[in-house]
Amino acid sequence: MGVSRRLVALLLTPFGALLAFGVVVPAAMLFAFSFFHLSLLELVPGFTLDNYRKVVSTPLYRTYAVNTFLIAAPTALLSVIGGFVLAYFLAFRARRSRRFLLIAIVIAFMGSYLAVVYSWRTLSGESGIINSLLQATHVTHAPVGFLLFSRIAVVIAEVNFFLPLTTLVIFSSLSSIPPGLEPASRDLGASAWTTLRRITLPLAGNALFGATLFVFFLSAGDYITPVFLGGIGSSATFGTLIADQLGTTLNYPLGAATAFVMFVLFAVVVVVLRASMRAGGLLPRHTR
Amino acid sequence: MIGRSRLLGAAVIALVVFIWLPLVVVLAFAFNGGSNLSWPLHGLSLRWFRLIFGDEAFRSGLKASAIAAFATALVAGTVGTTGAFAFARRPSRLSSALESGSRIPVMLPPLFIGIALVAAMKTFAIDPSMWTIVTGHVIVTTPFVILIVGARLRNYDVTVEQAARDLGATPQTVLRRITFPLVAPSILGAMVVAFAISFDEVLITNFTSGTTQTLPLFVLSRLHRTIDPSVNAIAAILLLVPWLAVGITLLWQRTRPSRSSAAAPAEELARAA
Repeated sequence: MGVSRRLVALLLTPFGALLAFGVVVPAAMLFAFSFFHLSLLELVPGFTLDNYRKVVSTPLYRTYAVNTFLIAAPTALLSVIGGFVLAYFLAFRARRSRRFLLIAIVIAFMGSYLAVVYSWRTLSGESGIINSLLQATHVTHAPVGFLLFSRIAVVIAEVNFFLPLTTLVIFSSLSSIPPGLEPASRDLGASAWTTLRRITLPLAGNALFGATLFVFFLSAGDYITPVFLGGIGSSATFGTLIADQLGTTLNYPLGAATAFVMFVLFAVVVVVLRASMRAGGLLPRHTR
Repeated sequence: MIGRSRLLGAAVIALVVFIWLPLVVVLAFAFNGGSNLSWPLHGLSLRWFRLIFGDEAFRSGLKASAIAAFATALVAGTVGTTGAFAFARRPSRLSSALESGSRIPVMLPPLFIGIALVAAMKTFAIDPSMWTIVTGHVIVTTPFVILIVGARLRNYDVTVEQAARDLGATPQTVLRRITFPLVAPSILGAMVVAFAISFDEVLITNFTSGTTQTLPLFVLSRLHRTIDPSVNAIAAILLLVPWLAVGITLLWQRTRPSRSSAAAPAEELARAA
């Protein structure tokens, strides 16, 4: 197309360099760090598996893993379910409201993560808006405490933050489904539920799979929401642990090892989710 | 059937209210006259904005964030646009490998990018500075530029370029007079998206900033203390600056006669996200 090979190489260089020196080399260094050890708070190169041994064998890390899962899994599921409901409405039901809704969601998508975290703290405190509303309407008489500094608080804020994203991802997938497909399925005698289960959901299967994993990873790696909205136990996630090790206590080897153990656990989540979605007919049995 | 569609409608309304609730609350309290963070509000006022703009630490945070966001928009815009051109115009094995690699920074948790940069900075004895902050931001925003500009390059009519060549234009003239004007709105849109992401990035910045305090980091340091109503005003700025940047760009593009729809970047982002 009139673009010379040399020009293409020139065009690719900046991005290639960014990927190499911004992602690949740092990630490789981090991986190397996970085999180093600390001596008198100084990083000593070498090769030891002690860091991994410690992460795998210390019971406390198991508590962190379980708590991370108990936050990330509901966050991912609720974000994807809520996103599907919104996306379904946008793709198949909305008429005049469609443009307005889409803009409302795109604007929220560009909202600030920190503003959301901070706002939930204001909203759900003991004298916050939710509690004052609950008491003003006599739903409760004393402030409800579990809304703040709990696992629920973390999940609510994260779902809140991820919903616009999951909605847009699933919407883009649903809007490529031919609009006649659902009526056709209904004409052939399938119930609304069967149509959803057998036609619509499988066609959006890849987007649902991707969005679930994406939110799961981001939630597990979030180290700010759990600290500010979680309680003492519920803030103990892998994200906060790793951020602490590399940002505060400066135990680089242990933090790096924790991060790569987390990646292995991610891989397990990918495999289990794929298998269960295949079993449920939401993903094709064979990869393309 | 009517019952079911009502149920769907109610769920949609509830979800949209839920999505917008914290954003509205931040904005409402930022302009609240009272100092209580509870309902009802006590009249409109700009007292919190006056308060924070009188704070030296806030002003330097705003400045740092603005510098980082402008620099990120420029660098990510350049790196992403050149990459997108290469991917779209000459697919080769290397470029398609790089293109699939371009999604990696978006798929990784920002925490991982942050700590990987910590490892690299430690290894090569690089001190944290504005440079490292911008590097982190460029890493996460460039994929969005590639996505947005790449989408535009793929669905545009290459025959106009061929026509220009047939009419005797040199490749340089084609690039300057045909290609660039057609793609420019998308590049600008992508740069604004990069600006918006950079402006409230905190998860990576936390690791790359050292003593430089960007606005989100300023908010973060305030969150450690007791609830402080002036934080609403800062959070409102974190929301409003990116929205204004995107809004102004859209309006400006709408006033110019252009074949591409003004909302194209947002739509392309939504489609590809």
